[in-house]
Amino acid sequence: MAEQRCPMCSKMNSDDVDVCVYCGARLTPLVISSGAEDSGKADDSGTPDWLARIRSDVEANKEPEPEAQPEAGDDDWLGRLRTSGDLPPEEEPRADASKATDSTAADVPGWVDTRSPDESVEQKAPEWLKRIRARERAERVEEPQEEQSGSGDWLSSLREKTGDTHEETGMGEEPVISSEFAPDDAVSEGEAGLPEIQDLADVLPLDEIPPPEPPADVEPALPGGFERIRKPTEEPVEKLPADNDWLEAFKEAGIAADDEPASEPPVADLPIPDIHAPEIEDVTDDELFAALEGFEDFPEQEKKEDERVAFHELEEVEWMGDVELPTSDTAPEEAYPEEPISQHTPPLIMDGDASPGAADSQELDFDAIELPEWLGELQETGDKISGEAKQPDEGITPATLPAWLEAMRPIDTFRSSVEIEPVDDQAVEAAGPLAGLRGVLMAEPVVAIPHQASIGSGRLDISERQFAQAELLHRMVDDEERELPLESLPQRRLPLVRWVISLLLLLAIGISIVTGTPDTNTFPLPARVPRDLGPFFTLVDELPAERPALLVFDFAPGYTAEFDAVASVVLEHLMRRNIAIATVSTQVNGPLLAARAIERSGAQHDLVNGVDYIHLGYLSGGPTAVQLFAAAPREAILQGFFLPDELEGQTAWVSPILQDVERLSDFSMVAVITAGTDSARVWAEQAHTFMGDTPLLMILSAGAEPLVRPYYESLSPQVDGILTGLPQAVAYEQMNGLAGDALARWDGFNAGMLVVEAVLLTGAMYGVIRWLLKPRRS
Amino acid sequence: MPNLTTIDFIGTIVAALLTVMVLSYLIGDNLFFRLATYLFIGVAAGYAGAIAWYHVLRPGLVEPLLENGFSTLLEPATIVTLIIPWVLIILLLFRLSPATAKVGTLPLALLVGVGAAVVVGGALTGTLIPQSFAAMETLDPSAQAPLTGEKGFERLVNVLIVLLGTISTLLYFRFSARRKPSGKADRSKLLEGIAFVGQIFIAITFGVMYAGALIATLVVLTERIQFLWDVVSFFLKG
Repeated sequence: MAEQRCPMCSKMNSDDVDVCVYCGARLTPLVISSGAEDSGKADDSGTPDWLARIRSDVEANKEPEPEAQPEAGDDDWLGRLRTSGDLPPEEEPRADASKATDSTAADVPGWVDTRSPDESVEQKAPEWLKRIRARERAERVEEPQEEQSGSGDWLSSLREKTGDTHEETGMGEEPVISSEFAPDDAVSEGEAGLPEIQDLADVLPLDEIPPPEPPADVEPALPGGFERIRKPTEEPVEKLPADNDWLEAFKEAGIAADDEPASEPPVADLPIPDIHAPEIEDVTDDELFAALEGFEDFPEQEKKEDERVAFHELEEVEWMGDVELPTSDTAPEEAYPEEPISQHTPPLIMDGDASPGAADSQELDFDAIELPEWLGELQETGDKISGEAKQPDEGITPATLPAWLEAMRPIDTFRSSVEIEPVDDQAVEAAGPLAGLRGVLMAEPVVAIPHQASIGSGRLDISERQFAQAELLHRMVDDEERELPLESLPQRRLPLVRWVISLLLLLAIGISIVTGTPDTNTFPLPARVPRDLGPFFTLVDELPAERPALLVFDFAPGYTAEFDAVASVVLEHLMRRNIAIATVSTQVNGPLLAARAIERSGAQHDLVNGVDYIHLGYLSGGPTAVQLFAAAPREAILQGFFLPDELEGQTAWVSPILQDVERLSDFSMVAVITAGTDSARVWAEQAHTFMGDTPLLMILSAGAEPLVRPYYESLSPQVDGILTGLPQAVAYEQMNGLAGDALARWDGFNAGMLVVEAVLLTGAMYGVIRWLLKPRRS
Repeated sequence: MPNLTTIDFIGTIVAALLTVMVLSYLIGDNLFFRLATYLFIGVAAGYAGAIAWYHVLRPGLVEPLLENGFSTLLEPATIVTLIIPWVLIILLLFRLSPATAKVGTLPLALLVGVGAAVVVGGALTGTLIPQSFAAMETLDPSAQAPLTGEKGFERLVNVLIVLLGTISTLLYFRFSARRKPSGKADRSKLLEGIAFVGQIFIAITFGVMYAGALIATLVVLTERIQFLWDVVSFFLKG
């Protein structure tokens, strides 16, 4: 059982149903009835003769083919005519024509009819068709074979004549001409000779493009686009009632199509039926306008309905272009060399004559053809639109781009125009495989053309805030470049407070020194011996006299005045006990300070260098050197400092004082005289391990005592005694029963301390008062 | 200043002038103060260079080479005590030029590594571990400080002060805190209170150090004024 495919849902239906069982779409389109009994009515109803003939051809060539059924809304007569061109040609046109209904023939214009002359129809034929037929008859008399072929159409005879001519003259061997004007090839493959058909083929779906047909089977040509229209259709066409007017049927079909948006677009008030409406709906408007580049004026119509109407008008123009043949003696290509519509005419001519030459034009004087009234209106409209379509050729007007597209378009970043020199002026390639050739494209001229970078060439869209920031940055850069005038220095304030405090200190210390005497002190001496001083004094006082004491002078020259008073008491004590003294220093200036201190204190005891004291000198290396010295003193100190003459060229270790000293524990004591906590900590950390029973004493500046005291107050003390500050030195002198430098500076020191305490108290009171008088915030 | 020699007399005059030049800073920064400052810096640098050469480089690297001759260079003891130090010194000199500074990395790394090891080792064995044990032992009420003789209630108070000062000072330098839902990271109130106590201990410690420095400076000022008065007295007495 044969099946037919639904044009809407593409599902298979049985052949005996008219409506799709799945989607309800009509499977077989409604067509105008072509029964012979309706012919008289059709004629009476005023149906054009030419339309009736077309319908007869359609009905005659109708072959059931379910897969090629038209769409449900494609029931207008021009749609069927269009689809008829897709069908294979009819083998016997005349036989098919005889099968066509008279009613349909009554609706077809007479000039379209290609059947054998009928008197009744002949009378209704236009004048131009009558003239053609008369000429055809004349030719038929001259060529009986054409009479026998049964082709009464004049264009068919022309085609046959042309084919003979091709065979005789060999023009058929020219593929360009034959293929160019082969209508079916042009329609199917879009040859150069049919540009507008090619465009339309691009626009239309592929299944709408008619398959190629052999030229031998080409039907007798019709004027214009009716050449294709007239071809028999293979689709089953449902007949319309004969009493309906074709235009009314069309309108009904249009209204029915409006109810089905997917099948057919809304039809505007057009002077003719919309031929390509179904195909138009299959493509977008942009594609249509892209295909019809010649009609760039129409994009200005922004309304979609207007665009659709404009396109319909263009289709009319195209359609009319097929009708309008060149009326001049020139060939079609010459008459309309650049107009696609006019180039569509050759297939019409080549159906009867392969040569597009002047002979066809002479034979077919279409100026004399009398077109129907409505065709005349269409022709005027087509001329008007064709004239508008020609305008872009004369000067292409710039396209009106949307604002967003205009914004996206890059600014001119490349100069596309490159001046090309004449061939004679072009340089001859001197090297490479193209050597000896002129006009060789060189990369340098193109590359060297200055152009803006394409990246970032677009205009930046910045906000107000970004603009303000950019302005601020620009202003800052300008300010950096501007030379600022020198600001007037603020008026220098006199350091009155500093002067007052200094003056008070100088006066207090000076007065106490000037007025004081070594024997009487203005300020009382310490009444109690500090607790830390007793162990220290006892330790020094009980040192074994046969073992030398090591004194480490690790202080800067700035503290000499303090240690002259503090350290001198210990030196005096050691000298009084005739304990040999060895000095060493981890600071560069230390050996010199040690020599000075020993010299000042030993002057009263007639000490001899190398016998009573010895200077080991500078111990370089910091903590590492201290550790090395604690572990192996002889390895750390290689020479000595201020060695006596008898030890010249030898080391200090050969002196009688150090003969028995091999390690740090061989000294009777190690006293570190330092003003910094770092030096005291280094000796306590590095040397304590190697000390053994040898006590480690610290003679410190007043500021270093707090950080060294933990080493002393511990249950496992690493420091065995601390002597710090002038008060302890005075107390030490009192315990030692001597009046030294500490006691001599006691009055001045106390006077200065009194001033300092007064200043500190005054400053503290000033701060408290200011804090109290400061306005408080809620 | 009796019986001064010429050198001592000139030295005394120069010392007095330099002292006045330094004290001139009381009226502000001036040429004399700067001159005295530059002079001290220059003399100290020159003296340090002389000490380094005469007491370190020459007796350690040059004299052994000159005395023993080049025949002893291949002896193991000489290689360790003489050749290797010379090589390291030469390599260290390459750091004078940025282009060859990389060559001097080896002796520099040796110096830094050995120095750091010595310092850290000494800090651990000489300060951290002994002080930690000492801090733990101080909690024993029956313990008695061997040098200070503290014991009983006095030691207990002293130990508590030391303990509170140690803990509060350490907690003061603990800056990490848990972030609150508001996004603000604050320490707890208890921690803030303990840190405040630690802050007081730190302030007292720095105050004591400042007071000691002030006392030392005051002693120096007194000695300088005493020196100037002696010089003036010497010239006044003729």
